[in-house]
Amino acid sequence: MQARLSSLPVWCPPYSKTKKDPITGEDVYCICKKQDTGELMVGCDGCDDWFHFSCMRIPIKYQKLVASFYCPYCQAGITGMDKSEAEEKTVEDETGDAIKVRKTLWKKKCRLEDCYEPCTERSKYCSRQHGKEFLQEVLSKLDISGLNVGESVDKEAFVKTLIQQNDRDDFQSFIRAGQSEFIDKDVPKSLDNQLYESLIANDRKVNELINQQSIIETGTLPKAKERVELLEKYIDWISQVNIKFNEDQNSSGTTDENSSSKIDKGGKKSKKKKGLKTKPKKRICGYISNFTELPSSVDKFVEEYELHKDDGLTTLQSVCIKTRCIKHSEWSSMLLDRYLQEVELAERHQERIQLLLQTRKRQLHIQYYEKVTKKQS
Amino acid sequence: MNLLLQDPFSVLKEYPEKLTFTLENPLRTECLEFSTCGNYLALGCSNGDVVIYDMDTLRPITVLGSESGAHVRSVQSLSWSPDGRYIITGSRDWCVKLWDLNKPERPYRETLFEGPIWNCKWLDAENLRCVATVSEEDHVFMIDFNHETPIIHQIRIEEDIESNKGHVLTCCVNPNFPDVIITGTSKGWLSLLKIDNHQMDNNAFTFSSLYSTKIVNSNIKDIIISQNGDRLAVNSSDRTIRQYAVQMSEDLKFVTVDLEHRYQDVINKLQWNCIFFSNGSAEYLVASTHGSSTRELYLWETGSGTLVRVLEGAEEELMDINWNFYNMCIASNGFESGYVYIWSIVIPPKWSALAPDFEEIEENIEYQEKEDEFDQVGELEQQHELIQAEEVPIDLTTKERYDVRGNDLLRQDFVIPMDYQRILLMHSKK
Repeated sequence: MQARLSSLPVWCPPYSKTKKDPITGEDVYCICKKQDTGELMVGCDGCDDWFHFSCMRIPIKYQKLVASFYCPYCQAGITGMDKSEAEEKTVEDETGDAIKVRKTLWKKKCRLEDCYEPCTERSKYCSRQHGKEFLQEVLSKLDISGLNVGESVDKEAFVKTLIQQNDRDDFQSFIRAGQSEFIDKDVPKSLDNQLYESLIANDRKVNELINQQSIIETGTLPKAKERVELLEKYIDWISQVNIKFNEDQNSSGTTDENSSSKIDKGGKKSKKKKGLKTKPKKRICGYISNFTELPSSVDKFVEEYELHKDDGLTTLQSVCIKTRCIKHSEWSSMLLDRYLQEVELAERHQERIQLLLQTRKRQLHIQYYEKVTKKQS
Repeated sequence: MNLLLQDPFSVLKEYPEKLTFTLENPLRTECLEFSTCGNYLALGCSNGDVVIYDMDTLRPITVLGSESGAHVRSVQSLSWSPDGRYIITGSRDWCVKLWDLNKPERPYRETLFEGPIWNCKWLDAENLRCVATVSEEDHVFMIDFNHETPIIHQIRIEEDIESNKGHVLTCCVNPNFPDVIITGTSKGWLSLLKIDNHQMDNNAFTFSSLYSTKIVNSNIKDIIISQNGDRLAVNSSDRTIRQYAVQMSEDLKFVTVDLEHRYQDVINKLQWNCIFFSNGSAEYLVASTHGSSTRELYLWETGSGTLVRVLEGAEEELMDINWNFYNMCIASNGFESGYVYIWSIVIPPKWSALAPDFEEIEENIEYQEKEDEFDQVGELEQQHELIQAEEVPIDLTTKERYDVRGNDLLRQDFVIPMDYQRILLMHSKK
């Protein structure tokens, strides 16, 4: 805590405990230790002492803007520390850092230059009157000579037309004009049809992006999803074939336990159950270059396999039937990963195009409004 | 600092000596290669991504395949085209992909094999041809990326089919004769093959064997060839690197391959992970060792076969090596963390070179004035001398053709375009 406290300003004398004049016995206040002469004073929120505006070097005109005041001694942590820490903490939590260092806080001043009244709630002005005055001042400073409007056009009328260019002639849409959602909305075509055609409807970049979007939506994404499905179907087929092999081999009843699919979705081999006295399970590689159509039915395939078992073939119906195939190891999981990645990337690309489209449209809309305003004025 | 002002002996050092940077690549690096002029470093990662680092800022600037088509298994091999515009990558996901760095978001062309790729090398970058070796295949594949769907030619030599030479594990291309490739097999056969293209038909190729010999009884893991094509080094799994002198006549009728040196780790008998030659006639050979106990790169002089330097500083076993001769950097990736260690030449600044009259001294010495040092010279004479000195024309505009090491300075890397979209996306995610 100590480290955070600022030291006393140069103009402030060191703290003295004197509260009463030693000669007259009257109460003394402030850093100047003088009696109350009716000069304007401000109460410290830390130590409850009173201080002159002049001694604190605060202009008198700021008197209504003080939100909370701390005297230099409280700011330096010399006084006011005896107040319970708990109280202080609650204040900290509400307003954050500003209070931690015990600084004088100010209210927001009215936007009108010479007015030192605090603003009313949810306003930038102390009163409606001052709001009007401020805007009138702004209007008087507005220079529209560069916009080819002609001398005759009244400034006030000009600003009004600007406001009324929104699609709906209401105050709410005027408020939204500066917000980003406004610019993302479709612009009113009717303002200038020709300009709309040339600027927005025929923008190459936008059309290109929309094109890309439709390619992904109708082509890439469904295709990739379809491939994932087909591959999963094929993997299922292969695992059924492998189950069948094991059934045939261990014609005893132990097969049920082993029949869990050997190639699961992740492609990891399910671990052999230890302790069972079954023969090592047989599993063919199953790699096929074109998996879109399933080979013959499981039973038929197994039959055929039994027939050609000893021929030394490596492929049957273009399916790799090596039992220990290093070359094609993990082919199914790899392929699945590839297609899943394709799906994921296509989806991500979709998002990206959306964002680019939004950004581009925003740019165009701004251009459109700018050009329309120029023309109309 | 200006090159002319630097100590010529340190500038001209022939190999890097000090570990200067570590790129903490969060994706485990599996293989790496500098672009030709050393402006970029491409890292092939274990998750299939290829990240390109900028060597000036040492920051990643692009990831290949950010939109689609990145590899899904670790990248085994990658290679830059000499102009720096294209990269080919071979991966364990059975794909060889060609990337155009003008559009790095997706592969330019790709082709699928029936097994994991061991390595891929450029054969003829102008025509987008490359060669690749695939796991458990007896032949090298030539890929012609010039077509929309790349054409794969199996480099099959009739006489090889009878004599079982094992699977081809590695290959490289002779820089002098770009139609000659050198292959190494799992049974220790070293072969030189020639590719003939019939001019009439662009897609018809015939292949012939120039030279074939069994040099070792184990796998040939890697073959490298020097820039001038005279030296060959073979890394095999019998823990030996063999260095050969290669001589080929112009018409390729006579090919001789003579053993020059063998490099072995006599004490620990370790295998070598990767080997790399220095530039030109390959005066140096650098190698990384297998096993967690070693963390160094060994550098031999190839003429005498003596170990001249051990590059230290890495904290783990090193795998792939790449040496760039423009910026004189050796990069190698660590096995455990996948970080990339870069050794380069550190040139001590020699500030006295800025004022040639001054000399750096260790201690104060009393100055002895020379006889004519402060003599008054006739003003006219002095003026004359000054004018004469000024009249020597100084050429400030012509660029030098070669740098001190004989690298061609006219050659320039392709500049990877800035990806503005990505910046936009990054902002949108904040």
